[in-house]
Amino acid sequence: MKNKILAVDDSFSVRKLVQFTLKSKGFQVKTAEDGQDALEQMQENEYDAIILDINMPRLDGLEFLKKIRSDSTFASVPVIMLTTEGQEEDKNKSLKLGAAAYIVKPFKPTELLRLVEDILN
Amino acid sequence: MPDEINPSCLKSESDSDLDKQLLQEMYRDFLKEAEELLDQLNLNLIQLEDDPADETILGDIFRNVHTLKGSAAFVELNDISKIAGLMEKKIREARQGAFTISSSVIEIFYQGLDVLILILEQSSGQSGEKLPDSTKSEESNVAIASIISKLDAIPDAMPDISVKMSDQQSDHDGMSADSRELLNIYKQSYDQLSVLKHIVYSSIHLTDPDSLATLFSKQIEQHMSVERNAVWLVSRRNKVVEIARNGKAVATEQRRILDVESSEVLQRVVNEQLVVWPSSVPGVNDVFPKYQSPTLFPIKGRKQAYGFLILDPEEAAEMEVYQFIGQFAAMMLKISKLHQKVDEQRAELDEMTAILFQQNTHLSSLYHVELELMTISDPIKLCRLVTDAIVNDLEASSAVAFLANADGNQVEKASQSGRLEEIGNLKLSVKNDDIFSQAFQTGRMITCQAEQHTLTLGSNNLQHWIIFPFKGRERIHGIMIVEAEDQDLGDPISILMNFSGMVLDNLNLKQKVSHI
Repeated sequence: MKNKILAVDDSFSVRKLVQFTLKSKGFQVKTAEDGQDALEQMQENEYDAIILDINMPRLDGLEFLKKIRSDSTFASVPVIMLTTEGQEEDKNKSLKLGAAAYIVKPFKPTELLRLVEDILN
Repeated sequence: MPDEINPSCLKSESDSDLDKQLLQEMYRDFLKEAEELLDQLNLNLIQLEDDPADETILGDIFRNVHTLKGSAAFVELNDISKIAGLMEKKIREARQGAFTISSSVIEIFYQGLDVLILILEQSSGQSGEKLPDSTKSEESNVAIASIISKLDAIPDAMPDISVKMSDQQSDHDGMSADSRELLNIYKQSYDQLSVLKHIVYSSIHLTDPDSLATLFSKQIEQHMSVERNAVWLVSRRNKVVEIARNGKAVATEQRRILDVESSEVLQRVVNEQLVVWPSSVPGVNDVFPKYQSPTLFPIKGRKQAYGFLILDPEEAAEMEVYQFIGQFAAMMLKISKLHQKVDEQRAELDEMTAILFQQNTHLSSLYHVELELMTISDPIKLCRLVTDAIVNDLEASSAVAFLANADGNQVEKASQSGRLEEIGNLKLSVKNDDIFSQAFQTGRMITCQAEQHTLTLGSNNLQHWIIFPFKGRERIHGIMIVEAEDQDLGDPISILMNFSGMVLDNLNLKQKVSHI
């Protein structure tokens, strides 16, 4: 079974990087530009995991996480946060809000792959 | 295991190879993104000049440099990441109220923008590949160090020159009338110079005519003593359109459009490229009734003006400055047109290069196949070689070759390569009006784009397919059914099929000769 993953980041190049990285190991990857866009995509498709940036326009990563955790349909989807170096507060907040893990930008693509594979197993 | 599902994207490699490959692919995306981000940053800085405390603009700038910082770090453009990071930090401090954004702060951000552009330009080779850090010029190293220390120093040591000038004036109330007048003239010229410098600075990164027009109108509105102003640009069919008025862009549906030929005023300014004011052409007030003393400065082009500035100037003394702005606007518009052309051509060139590169790869792999084909004596073996080449060298998903019987009313499977289920010795009649018969009878290639339906071959259903004839000089020897998502494969496969057709001709001939 192919695992379906949603990559959410407002940076076009980071979004593509995550997409190509996961596709190289056979995952199906859809992308969203911000939290709002991601919410809309989740209405249409089911995802096995979400890769989530924090600082985004319209609806940021933490707000998005709060929203899906309070919705029983999505409450258990594992979420991996993409955080920026030095922003300890964001890491703690996201873990408290129920993120499964976080990875600090800039990361090596294979580090992300390993993390995603771990979480899905 | 996800590994087994989609092995086609990347062959198995070590982690570091995979990382390297993925990050190289990211670099191109990063360049595109950085260019967009910097254009946006430039626009936001112009907006910020109007309203340095606007929370929305500050938020936009913050996210913009935050994104740039993050993605530059992936592709190891660490100077970009550092400068963007400093900008992010300063904007955060300003939003938290640590200092207010002055024109000097904005000026330093403009300088930062320039350095970011410089680094981007110097970090890529001709085909957009990332150059090693060692190729960085001394000049850019100095610029980077300088902007980092300037950004770091915000908000300390920030002399605001314009404030100082007015302070000076009040300090010197006791001086003679002559000196005061001299000082006034000096101050005025200083202001004018700083306006011009400002226009030059802020427009240098803009490449679309509408934004340029708006910027010019805004700068005139803010920094010059005119009651009202507008920027009009010539559009197609000899019409002029009011793009910006009193510092703001005019909404598309509200733009005034005039025919150049409809009035002498417009002909003078657009066709003859002359400055026009009420006493030079009396009709000006009728064309622009809202202006007291409408003065039109052409934005001079080669045969005809690109457009004109229209102002209600208080004093004639600033005429030269307005004319200069007109000339400068013309230069910027020319540059913007060139930019557009270069961008279009670059995109076209990229596309062509990619196609050429692919064709070249295909052709070089076909060369070996063709050499092998020349030595073959059995049609079935030939089919095997060709189906293998289509799948292995040209990377189609599957290929199935059929050869015709002597009567030419049936084709039979000769070989099969790729992912499809084995179809055995499937025979197809080619005397019907189905697609196989059509390809066989007409000798033409048929693609699924032309005939939108699924093709059934034994137990397989093909969505993306192309059918090629084995075309000889006098007869069609059979057909080849290829399954490929990439329909551009049509060309190289056709070459291979034509060559195979000729080889089959020769095999037939040899057979006949040996019978005799």
